[in-house]
Amino acid sequence: MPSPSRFLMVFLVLYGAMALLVGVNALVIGNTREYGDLDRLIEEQGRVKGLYRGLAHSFFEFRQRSYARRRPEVTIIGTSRSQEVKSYFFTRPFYNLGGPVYSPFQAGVLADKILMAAPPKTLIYVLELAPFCGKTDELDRRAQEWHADGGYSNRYWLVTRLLMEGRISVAQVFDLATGRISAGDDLFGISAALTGSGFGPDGSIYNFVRLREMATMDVPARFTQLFGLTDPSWSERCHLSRVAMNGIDAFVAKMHAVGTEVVLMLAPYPSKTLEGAARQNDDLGYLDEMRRELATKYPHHFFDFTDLRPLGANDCEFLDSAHGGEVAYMRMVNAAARDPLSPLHEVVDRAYLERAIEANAGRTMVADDDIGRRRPAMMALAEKLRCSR
Amino acid sequence: MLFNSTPFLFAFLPVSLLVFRLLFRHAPGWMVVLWLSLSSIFFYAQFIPLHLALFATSIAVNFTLGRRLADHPSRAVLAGGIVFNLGVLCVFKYTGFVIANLNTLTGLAIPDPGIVLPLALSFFTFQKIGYIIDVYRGGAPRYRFNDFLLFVMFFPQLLAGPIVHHATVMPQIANLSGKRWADPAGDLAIGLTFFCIGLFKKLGIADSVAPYGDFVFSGDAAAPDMLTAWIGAIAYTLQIYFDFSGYSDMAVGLGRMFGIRLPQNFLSPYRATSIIDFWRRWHVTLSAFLRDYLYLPLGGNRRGRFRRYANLWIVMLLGGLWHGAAWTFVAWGALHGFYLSVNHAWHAVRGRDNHPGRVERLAGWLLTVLAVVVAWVFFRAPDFATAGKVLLGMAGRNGIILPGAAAPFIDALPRLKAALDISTGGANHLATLGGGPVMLLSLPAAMIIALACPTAHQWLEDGAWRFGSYRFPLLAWHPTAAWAMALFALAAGSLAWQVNTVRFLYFQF
Repeated sequence: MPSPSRFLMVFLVLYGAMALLVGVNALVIGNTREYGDLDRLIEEQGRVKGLYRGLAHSFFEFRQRSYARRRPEVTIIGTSRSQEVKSYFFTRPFYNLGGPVYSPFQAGVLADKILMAAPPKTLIYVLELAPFCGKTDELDRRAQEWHADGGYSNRYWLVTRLLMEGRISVAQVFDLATGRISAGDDLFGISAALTGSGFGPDGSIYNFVRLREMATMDVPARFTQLFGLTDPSWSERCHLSRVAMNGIDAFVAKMHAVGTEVVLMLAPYPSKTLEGAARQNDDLGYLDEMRRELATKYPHHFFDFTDLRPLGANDCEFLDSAHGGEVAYMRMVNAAARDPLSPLHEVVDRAYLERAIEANAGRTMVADDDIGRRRPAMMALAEKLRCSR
Repeated sequence: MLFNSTPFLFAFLPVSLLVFRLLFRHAPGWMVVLWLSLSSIFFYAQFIPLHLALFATSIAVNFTLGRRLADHPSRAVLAGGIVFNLGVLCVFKYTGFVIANLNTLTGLAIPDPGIVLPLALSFFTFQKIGYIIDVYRGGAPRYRFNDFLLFVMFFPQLLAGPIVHHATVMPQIANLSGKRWADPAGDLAIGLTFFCIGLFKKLGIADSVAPYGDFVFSGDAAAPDMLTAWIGAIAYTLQIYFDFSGYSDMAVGLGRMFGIRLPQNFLSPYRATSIIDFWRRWHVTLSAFLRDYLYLPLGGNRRGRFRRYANLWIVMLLGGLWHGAAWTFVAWGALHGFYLSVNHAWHAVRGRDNHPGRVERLAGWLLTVLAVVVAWVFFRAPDFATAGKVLLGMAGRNGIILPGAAAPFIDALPRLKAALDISTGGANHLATLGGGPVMLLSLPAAMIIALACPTAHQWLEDGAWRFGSYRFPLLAWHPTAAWAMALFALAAGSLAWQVNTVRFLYFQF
C-alpha cells in the first residue's frame, strides 16, 4: 500500500481552504452581529429601537420569537404587501407578522405555529389576488403553496452560499469581514448592514434602500419595473378557487374560536398596474365574484382596497407596481377603522392617521418614530420624492 | 454538536485531533488518554451540560462496583448494579410513558414531570451493564480510572454507538497509554475515508430521501394513496439505514483517527434473505449485546423450542422499548419477535442444513424486505392511528393516484382502473413536496447503493470494490491523492447539499 502522506497532504490542503471559508463567514457574521442567541438579538433590537434584517437566523423564527415577546393585541399577516403597517397607527400593542403568508392555507399554518399560542384580539389579513385564481388543479395547488421567503440558511456557510448565488460580491464580503462596512449601533444582520434597511421592533419594514432606488427613476419607471411578475393571475383566465375561499373560512373560524376578530383587506395596487391588468385581461370576473362573496359573508370585516384612488391616494404613494408605501397603508387602516362596526374602530389612532395622511399625501414614507428621526437624510429624500401624479 | 455540524468539523475535531497527536508524540501516555477523555466530556457538555453530573455519578458508581465485583464477586452487588443502571434509564426515559399509561388506565391526572432524556443514556446504560456483568463473571480485569473514563466517554461512540465492549476497546486504550500505535498516518487516512463515506450517507442520501417519509408519517398526508404510502415507507426504510449506518461509519472513522478501532455496526442489512439474517446484519453491536446479556442468560435456545420463542419475544419486546418509550416501538419489537419465531419455526420444518436455491433466496429476500418495511411503519409512526393510516394506504385501501400523464394508459383499462380504484392527475400527496425528478431519483439510487454497493468496511478492507458479484479493481481504495480529492469532494458536496437545501421550509418553521 502506498504511503498515505500524499493522501493526507491533499486532504489537508482542501480542508484548509474550506476552513478558510468558514473563518471568513464567521468574521462577516460576527461583524454584522448575527452570531449568537436570537432572543438576545431581539432584546437588543428593542432596546436601541434598531432594524433587523439578517440571514443567519430563520426569518420565521425571528418573527415567531418577536411576536411571542411582544404578545400584541393587534397584528397583521400577509405577504410583503402588508409590511408597511406600523405600530404607531394603533392605540393598542401591535406587531407586524407580514411576509410569509401568501395563501389562506399558509395563514392556517401560521395560526397553528404562532398565533394560537398568543391570540391577538384583532388580526388584519391582507389578501393577495392570485390564490383566488383556481383555473386548474395546478392553480388550486398553487393556492396551497408557500411564500418563498421563509427559508433559513446554515449560518456557518451563509456567506459562501450568498457568494455562490451571486447575491453578494467578493468586495462586499471583504468589506464586511474586515469591518469596513459595519452594522452600526442600530442595525442587525448582513442585509441591514449592506442596505441600511430592515424590520423595526414592531415587525414592520423600513425600506430605505428602496427609497434610494426610487430616487434614480421617474414615476412611470417604478411601475413598469415589477409589473407582470407580481401577479400571474393578471394574465390567466380563471374561475374562483374554492380551495382559497374555503381556506379563508377555515382561518376565520379558527381565529374566532380563540377570540380573535379577523379583518380581511385586499392589498392595494397603483392605478398604472390596474390599468395594465385591465388591458391584459378582460375576464377578471372571478375577482368580482370573490369580492361579492367576501363582502356578503364578512360585513364590516372585509375591505376591498385593490384600488386606493377612492381614498385619495395617488401612484406616488406606491413603491413599485405592487407595493404601497406607508401613507397608502395609513389610508387603508384609517378607512377600515371608520366603520363603527369594524374591529379596527376602537384600536386605531384615527386622529393621528387623519393628520398624518393630510400632511404626507403623495409620500411613500413617514417613519414618524425614533427610527425615522434618526435618519433625517432619508426623510428629506422621501419629501423630495413626494409628488401628486 | 453533531458530527456533521460545522462547529464539530471545523473547530472541535481539528483542535482535539491536533492536540491529541502532538501529545501522543511528545507527552506521557496518561496525558494522551486524559486529553481524549476531557475532549469527550467537552463534546458531551455541548448538549445539556447538566447531564454531565448524571454521567459522572454513573461512571463513579459503575467503576466502584467494578472494583468491588473484581475483588469479591457477589450476585447481590451485581444485581444492585444492574438495578441502579436500569433504574436511572427508567427514570429518565420511561417516567413520562408510565405516567401517561397510568393516567389512561386509571383515569387519574398525574402530571408528567417532563424529564428530559439525557443524550446517549440508552447506549451508556447497556455498556455499563455489560461491563459489570463481565467483571462479575471474571471476564474483565481491573482497569485504571483514566482508561475506564475514556472507555465510557469516548466521543465517537458516545451518542449512538457502536455499543463497544470493554474487551474490544480497553486493550486499545492501554496501547495509547503505552504509546503503542503501529500506523498513525495510515489510520488517519482510513479514518478520514470512513468519515467522508459516513457524511455522504447521512447528508447526501439519508437527508435526501427523508422528506418523503417525513411527509407521509406526518399529519399532513391524510389517508395516503397506495403509491404515496409505499414511497413514504420505503423512503423511511432507506433513511433510517443510511442515517444510522452513516453515523456509525463516521464514528468508526473518528475512532480510527484517534487510534481506536470501533466495531462495524451494519453489514448490508437489506440484502438479508431472512429475518435471522437481517438481525445478523442490522445494528450488529446491539444484537450482540442483547444476545450475550439477555437472550443467553434467559436460556437462549437451550431449553426447548417454546422457551426459545418466548426468549426471542422477550428480547425483541425489550429491544423495541429500548429504542423509545412508546407502544409503537413495542409493536415494532413484537413484530420482529414474531418474525424471528416464524423464521426459526421454518428452519425447524425445512432443516437448517437445507441450501435454498436462487428462487427461494429471492423469495426470502422479498419477504424479508416486506416484513422489515412493514415493521418500520410502526417504528416511525408517532402513533398507531398514523401507522394504521399508512398501512391501509400501502394495502391499497385509499386507491392509487397516478400522475396526469398516465391518464391515457389507465383510461384504456377501465376494469383495472375500477378494480384498483386508480385515479389520475389528482392531488398526489407527494407532489406537494416538489423537488422534481432529482428528488425522486434519490430513492432508487439509495436502493441500489443499499443493495449492491459494498459497506465501507468491505471497501477499505477488501481492497476492491464489489458491485453485486462483480469486482472493480480500479475502484479499490488506496491512500492516493486522487482518492483524497474524490473523498473530499464527496464530503464537501454532501455538506453543500445540506447547506443549500432548505428542508421543511414550511413545516418546520
